[in-house]
Amino acid sequence: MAVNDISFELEPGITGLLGPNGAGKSTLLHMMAGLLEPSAGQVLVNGESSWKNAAMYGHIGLVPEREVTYPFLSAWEYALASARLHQLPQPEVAAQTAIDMVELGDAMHRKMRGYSKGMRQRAKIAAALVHDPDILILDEPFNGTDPRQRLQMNTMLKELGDSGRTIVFSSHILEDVEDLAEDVIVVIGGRLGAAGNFRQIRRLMTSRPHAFTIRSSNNRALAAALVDRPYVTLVSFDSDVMEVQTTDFGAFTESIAPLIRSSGVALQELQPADDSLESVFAYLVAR
Amino acid sequence: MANLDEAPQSRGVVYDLGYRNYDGPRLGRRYAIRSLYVLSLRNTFGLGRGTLPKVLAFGLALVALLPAIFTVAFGAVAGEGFEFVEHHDYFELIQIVIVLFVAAMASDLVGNDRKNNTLPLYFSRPIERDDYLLAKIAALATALMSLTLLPQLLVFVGNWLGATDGTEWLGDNISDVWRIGASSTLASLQLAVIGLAIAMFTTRRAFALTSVLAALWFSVVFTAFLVTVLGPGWAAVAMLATPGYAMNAATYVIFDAVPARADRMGEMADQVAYADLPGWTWIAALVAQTAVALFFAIRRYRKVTL
Amino acid sequence: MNAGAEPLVRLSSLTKQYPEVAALRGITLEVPHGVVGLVGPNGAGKSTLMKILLGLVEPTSGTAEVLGFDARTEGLRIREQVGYMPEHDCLPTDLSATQFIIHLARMSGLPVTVARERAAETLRHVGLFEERYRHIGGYSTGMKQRVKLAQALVHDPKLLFLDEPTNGLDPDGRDDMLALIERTGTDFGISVIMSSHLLGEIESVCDSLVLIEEGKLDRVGAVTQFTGLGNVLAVEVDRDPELLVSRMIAHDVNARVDGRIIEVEMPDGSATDEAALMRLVVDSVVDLGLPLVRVARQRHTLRDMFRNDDPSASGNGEAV
Repeated sequence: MAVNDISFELEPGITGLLGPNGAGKSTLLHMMAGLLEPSAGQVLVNGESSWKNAAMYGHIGLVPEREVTYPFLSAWEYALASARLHQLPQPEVAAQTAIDMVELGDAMHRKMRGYSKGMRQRAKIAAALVHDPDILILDEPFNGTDPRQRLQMNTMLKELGDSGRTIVFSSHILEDVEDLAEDVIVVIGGRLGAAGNFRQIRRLMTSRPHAFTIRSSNNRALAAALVDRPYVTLVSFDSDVMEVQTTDFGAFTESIAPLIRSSGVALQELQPADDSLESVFAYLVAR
Repeated sequence: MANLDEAPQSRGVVYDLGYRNYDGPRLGRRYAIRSLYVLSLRNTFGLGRGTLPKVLAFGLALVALLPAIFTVAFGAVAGEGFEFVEHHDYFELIQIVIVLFVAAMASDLVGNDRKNNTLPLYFSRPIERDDYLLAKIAALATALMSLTLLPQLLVFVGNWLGATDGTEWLGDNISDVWRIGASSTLASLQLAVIGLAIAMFTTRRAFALTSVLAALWFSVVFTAFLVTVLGPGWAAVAMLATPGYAMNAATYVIFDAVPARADRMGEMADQVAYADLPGWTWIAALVAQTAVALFFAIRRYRKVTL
Repeated sequence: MNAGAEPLVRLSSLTKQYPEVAALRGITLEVPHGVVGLVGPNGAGKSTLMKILLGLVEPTSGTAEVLGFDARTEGLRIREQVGYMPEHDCLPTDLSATQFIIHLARMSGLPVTVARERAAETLRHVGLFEERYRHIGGYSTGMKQRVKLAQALVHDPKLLFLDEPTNGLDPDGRDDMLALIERTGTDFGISVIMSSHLLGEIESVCDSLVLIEEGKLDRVGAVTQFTGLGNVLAVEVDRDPELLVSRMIAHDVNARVDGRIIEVEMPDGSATDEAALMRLVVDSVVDLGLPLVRVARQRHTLRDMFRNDDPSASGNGEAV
């Protein structure tokens, strides 16, 4: 069973689909794109089922993971072919707009066999954008891309997201997701592990104490005050850094500033230690 | 009274299981080549692999030995003078067995490493690029000796044992020993190099197998056909270029067993005789074929880096 | 860690010209010992460099030295002291890890008993235990990566070349591999040159980095050089950030909201000014009764290197 009882809703903006390899992300994305039939349940796009709904394909653009580009075509020809397949009234205009959106204008007439991996990715995205879909689905778009290509792709996806489209992309590399999306869907072993803003998700994990690191002019004095509080469960020291664990995020954050002031200590740094996507994901997988 | 200071203390020791550096000897290229040679040779006979490769390898080797075994057996019964099979046409007799062996083994020997993309792990080690190939060729040639040298030796020993006067027989036939050595070595090297060179160009096992069979077996069939059509005079070039012909002809030459030129065209030996070329040309042809195959093989491997 | 007088790698005007493309163009560089990150776009540059450093490809011009050996003439000596972990799949399926590693150890010149011992130890160090007796064909991606690392380590090299070592690994596996790499650098005393596209990895594990773009050296230096403290103080409160921003502005401090974070401009001046700003922040937060989540000076990240592309930043091989 590749995907098991997953329910969520997507809003405009960018959502990251995360999960270990083989967790079912690809299957899920292809079902969302209407290319795979759900065994049970449904995928509704703007209220309508997406399976075998030809009209729906006009609203969805899918950028699959595998290499689908044709080396003997240029990006222009490829985008144009896609536009024609969508039966757009002005395919050349649509193709040009899409090419401009992915910034392949300079290279658009070169054969794709001469493209770098990043350029081929962009060509795929252009082909998926020709019909100006509301929804863009990308399966592992960052695979094998180098930092510069990644940055360009990031910027481009952010712009697309800001323009009101709904973008969902999958990745098993958290670094890529964290920069781009605060809203995530976490799939583990085919099942839904969590959905929503990952910081909110972290707050919901009440069984795990929140950790903060603090540097100050006198950690131990500050520690003495903290240890007094019932919601502080652990204080530890590692050279000049103090780590504090608390079971009550709210209580801690409300009281830390007054505590600092009253203890007369000069604060140098205060950071949550485990609210990164990395930590949240690790906790989810461990459950 | 027991003095507490002298009472035995309990002891404990903790050892550092951390990473240990190695400052000992590093044995260099020859050792590496030998290691690869031994491993490849073992793999050829299926040692350290499953049952099937073992059955295949030992089975073929056994079949190659059968004529020799019969010779020994009949010789023991019938005595001197009876020769079930002679040295100079032994290879021809078991041709198909030898070819099957090469075809099966060559594709594994080089195909596996290419299919699994293991070569970078070898080339990033302290060996030179040609060393890999050298080890593989040596391994396959050695394995082939069990189908070339071994049976020939067995026939020799069998004949010797069956001789009425062993010492006299040995005196008459001692020169056969170097002939056996020479013909086996040449044949094994030739087939090993050609077989590997062909198998190297494809990773698909079926492809490699058929290609080797084509080069070593079907080529003989084809050339024989050419001979009947064009006559051995004209077809001499084809014969010189065909591994099977060159190998067997070289063997006839080494054993001084090229028959007299006659009008019969049925047997390979007769065709060779009719072509009426000096003996060394056949040996040169064998060596040339081997060299050409080796050239292409080396060139192919030099292109591979990581 | 090896802190010999020789740099790990020394390149001088290294050039490699192929018929259609110039893979490396006049690179001059000294790479220090330690864990080095090799970054750069996909393309001929990085892999060509690795091949040259292993003595497998001859440069068109210029010189390359690894551990003091000339890559052109002493490739064999280099490969004796170096371990290489390829990016792609490269393992046989019908051997056990132990068998395979022993074989490769011997190919690296280790006598047979030593090869057996070190194979077992190395596999243990990379975290393969009973699995090492099973056929590699049944291993997971993570286990296979460990075998790849083990074969590079078994002969106790002085330098490891790792090509995208966390490729294909889950976040868990990635963390394990990075920890292993870090241990290799610190505990085992082996220098590492690792190529990666993931800047976060390089930040967390590497001491220095080399950036190659279009065959030319673009940047080289300690990672800390590129992840230094900026002059923005990042403050995060759990509600009403605009209140804090107004308060800052009212005190003549530049501040703006960027997503969740309030970016507060730090004064150019002394530490006392800094401390004063901190006090102001804390006092404001207390006065406004806001929950405080974060106060920290922002660091530059490696990603910034790619944002502010300064063409004049082509390095001239400054050793760190």
